[in-house]
Amino acid sequence: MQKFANPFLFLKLANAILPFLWVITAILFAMGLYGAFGPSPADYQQGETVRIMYIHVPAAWIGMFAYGLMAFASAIAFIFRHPLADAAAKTAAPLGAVFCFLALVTGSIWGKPTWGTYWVWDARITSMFILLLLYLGYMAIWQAIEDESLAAMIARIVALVGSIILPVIKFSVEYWNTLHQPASIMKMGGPSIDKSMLWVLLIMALAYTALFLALHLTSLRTEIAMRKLRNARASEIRGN
Amino acid sequence: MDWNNAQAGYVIAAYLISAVCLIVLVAWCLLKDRAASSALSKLKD
Repeated sequence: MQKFANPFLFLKLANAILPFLWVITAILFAMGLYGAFGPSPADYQQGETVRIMYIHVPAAWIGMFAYGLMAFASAIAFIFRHPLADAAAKTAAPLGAVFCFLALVTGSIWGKPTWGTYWVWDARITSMFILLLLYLGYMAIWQAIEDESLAAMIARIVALVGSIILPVIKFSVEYWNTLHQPASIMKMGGPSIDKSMLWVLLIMALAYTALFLALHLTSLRTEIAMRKLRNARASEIRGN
Repeated sequence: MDWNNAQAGYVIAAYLISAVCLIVLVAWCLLKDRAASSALSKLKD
């Protein structure tokens, strides 16, 4: 891991992986969308709206995964001072925010025909909304504080403290009486979704994961280039 | 998928919004990456 914290090695690896990752993402999306609109049946209770699950659930998973990644990278930055750890956390934030936003919007669209309302302040939905606010707050820190090392320090603290929201989101449907249904995939005793729908959901989850990884590697490559530019400009100013 | 079903509109709306957001996100990341790498190569020249 220490080896890949070297930006030069990381760039070499990212440049080699990225083309394949984009192709894999496209193939997985094509398979997932075919499954979602083709062989996957309508649900006996939810009807056709069950198809929203194939984009809502992966978006929510990636929205949470990205924050977990940010918290992990922030911890690494605190402990080991890896040069790439802060950059990994910083670049995961806008991506995670978009996936979190999509989980809220698609869930809201699904809620109208199923629950009769677009929004309720139940524990799961509210905790996901707080996650979105945490993402926005984290990004605001990087934008608002000019001193990069101070911004990094505060951003690490926000990412680590904010990660408390992740178990709250996960267990919100078990500890509180929510309108949102309990877990049906990651639960004891295995998934309770029918196999005819489960395979589509898993492929879409893989597609979203591949897309997130491709976007994160690209953003990380951009961030490294931006840092090189900033350093070059700073040394140019010092030289003058 | 039954496209004439009353619920189809909700499904289409959810997929369209997701597609637009993800396409904009991909375009934003790729354009930013391109701009940064071209600025860096200009600096090296």
